[in-house]
Amino acid sequence: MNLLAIVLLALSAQTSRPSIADASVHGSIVRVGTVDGLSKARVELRMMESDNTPSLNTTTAEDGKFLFRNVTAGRYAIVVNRPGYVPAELTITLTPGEDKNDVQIPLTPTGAISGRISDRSGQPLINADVQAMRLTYENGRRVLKFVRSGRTNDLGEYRLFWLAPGRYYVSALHPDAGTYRPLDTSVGGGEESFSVRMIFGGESPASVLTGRYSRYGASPTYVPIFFPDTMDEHTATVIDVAAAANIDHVDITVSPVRLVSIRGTVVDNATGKPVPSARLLVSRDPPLTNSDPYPGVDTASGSFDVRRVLPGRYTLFAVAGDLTGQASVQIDDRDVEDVTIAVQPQINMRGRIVIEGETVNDSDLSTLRVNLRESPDKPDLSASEPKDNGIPVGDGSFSLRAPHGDYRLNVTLPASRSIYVKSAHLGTADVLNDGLHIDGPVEGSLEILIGTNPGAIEGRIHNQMAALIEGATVVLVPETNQRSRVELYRATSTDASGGFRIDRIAPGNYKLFAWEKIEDGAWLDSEFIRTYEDLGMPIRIVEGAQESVDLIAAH
Amino acid sequence: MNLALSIVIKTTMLLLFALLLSLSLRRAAASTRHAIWTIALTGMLLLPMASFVLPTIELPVLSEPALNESSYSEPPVVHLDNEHFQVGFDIQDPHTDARSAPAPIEPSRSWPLQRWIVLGWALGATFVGVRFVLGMLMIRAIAQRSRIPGSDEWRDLLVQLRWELSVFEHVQLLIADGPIPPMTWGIFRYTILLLPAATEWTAHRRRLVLAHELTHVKRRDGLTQLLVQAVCTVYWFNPLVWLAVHRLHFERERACDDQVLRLGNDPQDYAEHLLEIARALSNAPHVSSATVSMAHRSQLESRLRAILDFRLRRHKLTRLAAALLIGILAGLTFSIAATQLSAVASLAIPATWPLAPPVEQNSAAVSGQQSTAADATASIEGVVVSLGTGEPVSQAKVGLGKAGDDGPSPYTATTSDDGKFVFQNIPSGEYRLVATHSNGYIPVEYGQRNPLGRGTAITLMTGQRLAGLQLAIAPTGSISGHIYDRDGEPAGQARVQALRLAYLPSLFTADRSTRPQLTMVQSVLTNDLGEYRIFWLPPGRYYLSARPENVQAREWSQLTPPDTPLRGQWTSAPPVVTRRTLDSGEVLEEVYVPAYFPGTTDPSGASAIDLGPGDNLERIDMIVAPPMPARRVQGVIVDSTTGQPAVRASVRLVPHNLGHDTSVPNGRTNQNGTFDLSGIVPGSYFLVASLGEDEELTGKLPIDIGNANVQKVTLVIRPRFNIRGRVIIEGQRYPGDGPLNLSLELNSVPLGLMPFARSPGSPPPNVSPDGYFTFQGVAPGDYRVLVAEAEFTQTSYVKSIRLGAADVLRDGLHVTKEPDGELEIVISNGVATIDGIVVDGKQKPVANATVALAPFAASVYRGDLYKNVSTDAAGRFHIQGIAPGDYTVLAWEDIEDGAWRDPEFIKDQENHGRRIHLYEGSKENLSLTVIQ
Repeated sequence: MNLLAIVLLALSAQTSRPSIADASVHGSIVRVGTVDGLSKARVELRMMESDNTPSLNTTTAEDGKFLFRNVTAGRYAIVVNRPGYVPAELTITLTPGEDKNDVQIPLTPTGAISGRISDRSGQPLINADVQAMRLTYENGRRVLKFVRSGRTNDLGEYRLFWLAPGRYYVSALHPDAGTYRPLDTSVGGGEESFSVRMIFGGESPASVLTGRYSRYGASPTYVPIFFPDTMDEHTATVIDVAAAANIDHVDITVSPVRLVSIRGTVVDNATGKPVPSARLLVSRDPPLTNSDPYPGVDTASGSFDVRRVLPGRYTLFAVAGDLTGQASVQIDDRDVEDVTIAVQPQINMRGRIVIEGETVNDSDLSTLRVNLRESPDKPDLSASEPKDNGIPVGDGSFSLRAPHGDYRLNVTLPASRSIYVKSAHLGTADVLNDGLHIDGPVEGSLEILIGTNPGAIEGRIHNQMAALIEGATVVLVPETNQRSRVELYRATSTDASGGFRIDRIAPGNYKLFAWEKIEDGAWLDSEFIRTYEDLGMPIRIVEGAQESVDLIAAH
Repeated sequence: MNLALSIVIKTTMLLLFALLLSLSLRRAAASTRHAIWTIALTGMLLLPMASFVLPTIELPVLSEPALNESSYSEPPVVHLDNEHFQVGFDIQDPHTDARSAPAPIEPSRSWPLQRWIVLGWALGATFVGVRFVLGMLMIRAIAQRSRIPGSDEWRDLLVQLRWELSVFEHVQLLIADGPIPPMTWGIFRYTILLLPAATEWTAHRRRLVLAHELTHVKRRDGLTQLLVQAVCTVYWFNPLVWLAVHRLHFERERACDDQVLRLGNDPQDYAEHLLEIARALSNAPHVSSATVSMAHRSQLESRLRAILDFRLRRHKLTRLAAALLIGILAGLTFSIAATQLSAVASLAIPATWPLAPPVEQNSAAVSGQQSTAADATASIEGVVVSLGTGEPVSQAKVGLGKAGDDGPSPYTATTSDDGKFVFQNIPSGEYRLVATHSNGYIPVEYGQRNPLGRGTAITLMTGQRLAGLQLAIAPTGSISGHIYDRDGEPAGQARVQALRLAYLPSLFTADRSTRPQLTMVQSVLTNDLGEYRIFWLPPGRYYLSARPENVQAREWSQLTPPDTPLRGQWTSAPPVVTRRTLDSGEVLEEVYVPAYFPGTTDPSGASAIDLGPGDNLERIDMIVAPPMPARRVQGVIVDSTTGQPAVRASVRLVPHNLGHDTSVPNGRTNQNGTFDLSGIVPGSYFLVASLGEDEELTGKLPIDIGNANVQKVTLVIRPRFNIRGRVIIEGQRYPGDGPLNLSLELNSVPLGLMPFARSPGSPPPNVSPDGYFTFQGVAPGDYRVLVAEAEFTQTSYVKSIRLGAADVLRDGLHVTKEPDGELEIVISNGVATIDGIVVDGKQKPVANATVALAPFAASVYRGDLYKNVSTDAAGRFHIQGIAPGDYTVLAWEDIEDGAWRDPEFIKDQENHGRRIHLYEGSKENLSLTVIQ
């Protein structure tokens, strides 16, 4: 009896009655630019800032309409998925008892790329892996992001579909290629052998894992071939997929390629003797965006062998303790031998931080860091830096150590203070704008002046129909001759009422851009920004002043 | 020290032999080579002991009197080091004079040296031992800082994988607080430790990694690791030991990789995950030698190659193979142990070793290829033609290998433009002949009755010239078309499956239909235009199904060309459930079921599509089935021990028939002990619930779901209990005439997705010398009792199994609580045998015919009574180990595998067969006419 009572109690507890305070949402899903309702769209209502509340979902009817009832008041994301359309998301706020009936979400149709993959002899290549990669940005660098892959059928045909409008690269890989990785730097190479070095007390150190593995016995060698028939993505054709576009005849012929090796020695510049166990980092110039750019290579004996390298220009960096060096190599279709990388001690220099109108004290400096950066394509050598590199002490003085090379100055400022880097000089040289070229001992002190009176800008962003838009991206871009100063770029997005604010701006000349939708970081790509240059609003930021603007967002 | 040196040399020999053996088996599965190394290392520990115990044997090779002089029947103490050199010298030059006069060495010189050696050894051993202990302590520290993953997904995944891998040991899963490679340790209670990043892994990667680690548990690699450490501690000075350990680790990981791949995972995908995990851990410390770690970097490259090499064999080590390997290496260990130190000389003459058969076979094959002794050899020639058209096929690869060995063929040839092939200078013997072609053909074996059937062996006599053989290789075909939705719009990303009717394995027949079931051959997704194309299909009769697939689901599928040994494709995705809120506020839930060509949701109403060799069938268009209103099942799970609702109990609905397109709704009870499963297609199910990490409480309930939701279901889950029993041999108490090594097991009915039959972690029952056994931790449920052992089934049969008055053998075992009585298993060795010949209508013998023995009117629980064999080249067959009773014996030229287990089918064919009554110990002779 007791048992039954509990069961009934438990069941009745589960069916809760809707309360009066519950809201409801009516809406419709339409094809973008039209009022045509879209059926069969899956609409999900997901409560924000709550992981525990299960989301509600529904499917649109013939006329594209959907309805949620008995919804608890709160902030929600509406996520819409529909085959053949780009997923969309919208944020709404529901008050208790509200009947929200004006929600309209437009969906953009997707496009497709199709074609035929064949082998060298023109025969269809069956079960080949075809990938669509989208051009995106990471720290201002172009990166190919995998979007979708498909396999060819027995006729060699493929079709990559439901692609959001955008710029794509297409590559095909021979089914025998296994998992492709461009570089192979294994020590033994070839088939596994039994000649493993034995060290007591530990397992074999064997090869450093950086290697790139082709399937055992796969010969000849296959690498991804980009449309149209190139293994170098920099010469590949970008395929612009518009909404609802069908791009066909994207045909690729997959031929085996000859990969080559780079062999050489790391030597001490002072003694001319080989340096054992240097860390060797290999990067392509420009890097292949869909590969890991900096594999390490075993150089235990001082010599190295970088295998399975595609043609192109490469830079090899060697780091051995305090010694660093680099060499550039142009690869055609044959192995490169006897590359010598001369390593030499890094250069030490001194510097000082000065805060305008103040005496420097420890609290200001606690989170302040100075460092030197090579181009973003160069490897990160910070592991070999001394611990106190670029950390100012007491009176603002600091020391820096860096290998030979070309650098830009990067100063990390404490977030708590409204300050900016006003100038940086080494003797008479303007390090902030011209960078720093290190090829020998550095005389003098690197003087960095911190300004305490930055400018600010605020404003509102409209669309073409003069409506204020939420979520638009606003970017402050430095004037043309300062575009290499990445730290001057500032980006934000507009709030619910279309407003934005950027402060802590270093005084100077800028251009202000706004986009309704943009790939994150694309503004750092000079090619990209060139096409929008005319839409930028020139702005002069004055010390301590606040600008106010209204801008129309680019579509 | 005398003894020590002899042990060193003997163990080195053992290792060298293991190395040789593993090299000769390099194309075998990694698990085999792992076993070789494990056994060899075990041998190294046993060898010193054996050396004391066993009598000494002189190797016949060393019969030269000079060598005997330096043998070790001399006083074994002082001049060891000297003799060491001497013996070494002897090997290189047995005719030198030096050996005949052992140079006396001053004790004062040799003793300090010995001491130094002992000291050195002790220091090394201490170092290695301490390192291991420190490693253990470090692991314990890490484990104490680790936490048990909170989310149910981990637990569910663990339970599911333990199911799939049949891991019954106790396993605890922990998440570490720092970056360490995934690792496993333990001997009786296992712990799997994952890195913190694991919590952010995709479900797919979790599954891969956990499957890998659980395989370590299943293989008891913790124990091997302990063994390895012991060997390293003792033999640290021997570089070969470290090589052996390195190889052992490598093969161990590969064996686990193989297991993961056998679960149907995509090799490429798995390799990528492995690489990424290793890369993420590139700075992680090497933690400890006390554990088994997955992402060890130094061996990764070779492992990745192995993973991606689909030609490799990946099977587990069978008991037979393990026994064989242990036999070979144990024999070797003892023979080496019993040998005097003079046996080092045999290093130069390895042919006198008790060589393992594989090595001999290998060398025989190699020498056979090069043999020119024409009179001792034979030749085979023939032609490869295309099935259907009969046209010659050029560029086909033809392989000739030993019958019964499905490894790579030692002899290969490529057909010429006229399709012809020739093998010359082949030693006489039994062979299998196989042809493959890379361009979309199904491999064919000589004697095959249909493209997927079994082949038959070719007997080659000395000097025979066998000509005119024909191999008909089947070109694959394709089926293509469009799939539309109900509105006539193309259905993008719909799952289309090519299905075949096939019989289920006998294990399933106790509870499921014995009629042939639709099973998946290949599956594809449509593109945005609704187009699909299924290719590389063997000729045959197909059915087609289509169903919309969850767009967000990640497809798990693998397609392999028809000329590779691992054929086919496997996919998995959750069902598509749509919900719609009506104006009334009511939520309508719908679910898609598969539609069968040409347009039905009832599989029995589906039309067959006959695909001839090389056919390309186009415009096979279909419309997906309308979504069906989905049903819900709500209820409460009650804990019988407390009478209270069970909180966080796992609940699942297992369909009676696990078909080609099945989803299993599952969930957990909430704080009130209630559950709510949605998206259910009407049908017959079992509601299965369990509580606790080791499913301490379980229950199941059959539920038929019709056109209404099912509410207020109450399922009581009950604790596990023990079942005691005994084995009796024909009225005598076990062991009777001689010990039988029996293995007993309980199999759930129905099989698949039921709770563990026995407590996870509890060992299968041991039968005591007087015949008693106990099944520990049995979950309440329905079972079949299996008595298994290969040797046993040939010589004995299970006469009866009873529990009190219940006939368990006939009716199965149905238990809800600990039974009062004992399970009584009676075994008899009065098995019957049948010998016979199969002939056609003209009384000519039929080779490669299938002969099946079907019990007459047997219960569904007696799948073990069915037997089948193939006839040899002379049409003869032999069936042994038959339990007495009434049977029908039938012979077919070509028959679907397992059809003889279908009583309806047998009934149709009965008048073509022979009814036979077999008594205990009957030996029948039959002549059967083949059914064509």
